[in-house]
Amino acid sequence: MSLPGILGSMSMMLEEVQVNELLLASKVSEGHGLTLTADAAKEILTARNQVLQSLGRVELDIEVLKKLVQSFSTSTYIEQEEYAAVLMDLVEVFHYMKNETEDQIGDDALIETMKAYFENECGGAIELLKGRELEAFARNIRQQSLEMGDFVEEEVQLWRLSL
Amino acid sequence: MAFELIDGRQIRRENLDPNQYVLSLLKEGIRAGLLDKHALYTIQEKIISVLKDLIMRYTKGESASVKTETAEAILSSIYYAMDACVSRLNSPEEGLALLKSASINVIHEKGIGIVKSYVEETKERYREMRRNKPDVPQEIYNSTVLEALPGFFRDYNMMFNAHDTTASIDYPLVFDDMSVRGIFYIRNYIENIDIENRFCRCFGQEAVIRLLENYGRVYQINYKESPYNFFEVVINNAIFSVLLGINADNLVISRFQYEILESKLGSLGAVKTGAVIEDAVGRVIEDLGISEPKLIAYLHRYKVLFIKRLVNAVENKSLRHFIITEEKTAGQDINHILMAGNRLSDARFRSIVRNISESESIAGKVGIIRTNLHSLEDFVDVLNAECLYGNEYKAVFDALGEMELAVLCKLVPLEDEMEKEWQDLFRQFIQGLGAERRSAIESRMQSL
Repeated sequence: MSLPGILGSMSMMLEEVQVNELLLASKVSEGHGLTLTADAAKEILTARNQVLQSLGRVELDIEVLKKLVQSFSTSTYIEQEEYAAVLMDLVEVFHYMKNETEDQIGDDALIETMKAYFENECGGAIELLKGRELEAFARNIRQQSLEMGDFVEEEVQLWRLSL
Repeated sequence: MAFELIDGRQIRRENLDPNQYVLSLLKEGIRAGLLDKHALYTIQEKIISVLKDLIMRYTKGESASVKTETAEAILSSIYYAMDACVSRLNSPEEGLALLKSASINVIHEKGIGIVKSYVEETKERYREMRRNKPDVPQEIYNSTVLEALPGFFRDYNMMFNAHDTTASIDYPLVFDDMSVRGIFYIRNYIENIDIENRFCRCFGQEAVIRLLENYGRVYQINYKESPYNFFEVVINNAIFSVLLGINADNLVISRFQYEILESKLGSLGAVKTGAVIEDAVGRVIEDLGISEPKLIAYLHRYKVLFIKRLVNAVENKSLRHFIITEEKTAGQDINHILMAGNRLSDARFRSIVRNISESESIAGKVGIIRTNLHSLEDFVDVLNAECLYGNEYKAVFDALGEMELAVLCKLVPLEDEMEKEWQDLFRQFIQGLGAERRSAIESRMQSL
């Protein structure tokens, strides 16, 4: 009943449910000429599970994936042939950024930022999104967090002195 | 009750881990055939649901994912709260039935309620302990009591990290069960440190500090900065005082008394040592007027540890590090009794004479004389008071240094028809000494 044990048994039981959930979520992109097959959905989920494991993160549902589908379905740069591959990359970039920003930024704000960079500065290039724009973005977030940390540390010192 | 003894299937209590109660109960339920895989899966699914809710609460609804270590910590926290609820039921069978039938969410919430009430109760105990703590200049003790423990209460998060005990609690206690976690660990810690404090408060602050200074000297450490348990230092010397026939409230043991103890303990053997210490701890409790059951139980628990250490120290000839003696220069030691100007009041003198008469052991009588008399006049008055008998005089003379014997030789006439018993015995004692010692005493006499 450790976390890996629970997650292992749950992911097997939930695979079918999650594939269906993803297929249902991807209906929104059909209007933009982007569709997912059941096999592609399965492949995306497998890739997503591997990403979570390799980046040391846990997500107990597929809300992030569904939000990425919703947000990026309107992208002018994604073609049907690369749709599944782009979603896999986006999931990886998303969780990588969660780590890099030390969880200081919420899911919706991060997806919005990713979409804005992807559509504008990166011209639809995932590598630029990850390697250039988001790295700088993460540095800013960490710096802000550090400054806030100093403030908190000062507060703790004041508390100690007041004892 | 539905799970009891169906086809001989029952939960083995010895397989249950109090610190991972729910997990060990589920495991044991599977082993005993009282829980099938489907039921386990359902429980697992409900736990995941609670975990998912808590992750959302943890991220304030902003993130569906967290780092693995965060998820693991939250899951451990869930189990901790569930343990608090399930382990308080009447039996493991009842616990297993609850896990199968009730909502895990409800069990978790009840557990959080129990943890919360423990936090409040423990905070109150902490405040009381802090109010009554002895004023001892040991930094680690003070930083633990005054900073680390309030820091724990400030940072403790019963929802996401209930099992965590992260705090700089560096002061070592005699009994410290590190397998217990979270608020239950802190509760035990505060209860035990309070018991140790209560014992130390039976002694004057100056006496404790003086003992700790000597402890620092013996171990060649800075007694204010080093991490050691001072309760042990105090109780050890109190027990040794009792062994010397002195009241347990005395913490000062001279080098001479140390020698008495060394000789006495060296000849006891392990079995007799146990019995002697058993008796001595009883005397400590009596002498100090301790009536609090928890403190008495703690002292008896410590006694077992003490006996083991004492037997080892005797075997390894390391008593010098176990019995903390008073520091004295050689000169001070020789002149211990002879120092003028410290005569006792009449009342105090009568009390000491009474104590000597009532003391059942020779070592005890010698110890009382050595500890309480600081002038030659008082010493001679005690010898004249006829509170010692036969061999006891010899033991007292034996305990004197050459300078003291030399002074007495000058006082005792060579022949006196009206002489007292002690004078006759003293003359016999001197005549019985070896030539070398007699000559040393003679040369001391010439210098007087």
